[in-house]
Amino acid sequence: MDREQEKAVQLLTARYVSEFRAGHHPRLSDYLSRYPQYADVIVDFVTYFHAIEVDVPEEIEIIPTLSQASLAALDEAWKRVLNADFVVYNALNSLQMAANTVHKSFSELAVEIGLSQDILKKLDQHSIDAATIPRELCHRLAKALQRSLGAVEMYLGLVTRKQRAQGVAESPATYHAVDQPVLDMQSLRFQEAIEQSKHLSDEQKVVWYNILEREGLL
Amino acid sequence: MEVLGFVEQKLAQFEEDTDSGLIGRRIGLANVYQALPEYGTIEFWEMIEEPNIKAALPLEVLVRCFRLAITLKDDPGRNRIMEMILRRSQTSNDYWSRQVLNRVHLTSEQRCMFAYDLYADLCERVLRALMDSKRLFWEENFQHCLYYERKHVYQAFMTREGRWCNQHANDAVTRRVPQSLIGSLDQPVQHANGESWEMDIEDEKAQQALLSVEQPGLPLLILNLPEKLKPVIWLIFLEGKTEKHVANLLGVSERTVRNRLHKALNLLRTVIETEGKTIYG
Repeated sequence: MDREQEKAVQLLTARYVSEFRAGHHPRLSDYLSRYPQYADVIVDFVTYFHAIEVDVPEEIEIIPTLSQASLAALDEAWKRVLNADFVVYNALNSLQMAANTVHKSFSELAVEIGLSQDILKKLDQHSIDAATIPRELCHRLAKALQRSLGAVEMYLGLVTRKQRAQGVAESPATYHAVDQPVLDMQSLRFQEAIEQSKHLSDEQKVVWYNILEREGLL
Repeated sequence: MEVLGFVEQKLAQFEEDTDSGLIGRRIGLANVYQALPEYGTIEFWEMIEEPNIKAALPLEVLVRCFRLAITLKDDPGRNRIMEMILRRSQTSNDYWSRQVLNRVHLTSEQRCMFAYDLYADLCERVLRALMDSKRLFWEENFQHCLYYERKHVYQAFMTREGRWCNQHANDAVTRRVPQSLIGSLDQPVQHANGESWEMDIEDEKAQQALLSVEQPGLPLLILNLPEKLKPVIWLIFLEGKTEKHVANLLGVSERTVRNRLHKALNLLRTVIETEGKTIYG
């Protein structure tokens, strides 16, 4: 059911409730004959309403403060929502798409972080061994793509799924994008990718060798 | 047919009334929202946190304010409004949670634990809904949207609970319909059109068992039936419709209606008998 249909059903059932609360004794059969296309969902709601909600009070005159248990439950709910949203909103599907999101071409992204497009492509294909990628590259990518460092590291495979605590409400599907990088045993070391690149200048290569050395990855 | 025509007319009139009522309500809510003091001022927060329900803003307006806080990236403000929304609906949510937990047999410790779980699940659903600015009906009819969220939480809970029951040896102890649902066996059922319908002999016991349940308790029994069986029982037992009428309404054959009725009665008989044993024996 799409949003339009969902809203139509909510309006119909709200009318049913309003009719009921007004003491008009609405009949399910009338609604089914008028809206046969929504029969199942109307029946589902009406039975639920009469079984559970019909005697539940709405608001009362004095607004209570939240009980300790309610506050704790609210905190828990916030954690679930924000934790799941962190992953959903921050997960990268590809460097190319992430670059497009911030209105940058792939080549512009390459220039900004001091790499060449062929290496960026290899990173996007996860054909470079994550363990050999310098942190400096993650910082540069995070800055250029306006994403969190964690999201970039996760995309490149520097942080595995197990290292991140899973939120209670996070379904495995949330991690779909995160699960994608699968390291190929034949994958290149980052250093080899630099050496083999035909588009990276000698000066750029030297910069990256220095970074690799500094991070103990040579 | 004349009766049907009258009902149609009555419903059409009610729709017209409620539609114009809805438009009026939308305008009213928009006016209240427009008249709010500037976001974040002392006066604004005083109105958001008004303790007297008679003077308090409609919950629908609080939803709009919550969404405004998100747009403004004011996280503390967003949290403050959310807390107020939950305070306003806390009594109702507590009552609902007790209603739901009364459907299952639990120790007091389990009841506390499940009440917490239910409330956290409900808060999560409400939060997600309010954070989704495309769900505009929340800004028009908060209470009705809340019904829907609670329905989802209830169904998820009962599904989980059902699984939990199966893992325990004594199913009869965990499946329980409240005692209030069991009425006297000789209570007659009233059919609106005065018609009677033929019942297979094997269904007679089931019918008797169902008729023994007080009418207000029937929706609860029907609620847990499979989707296709619900309307058949509802229309026949609560609205007194004939099998033929039900077949017309649902767009199926009378034979299908009879089959569904038979299945539903069998399921209900099992539930009611189990209930009887649980309560009386």
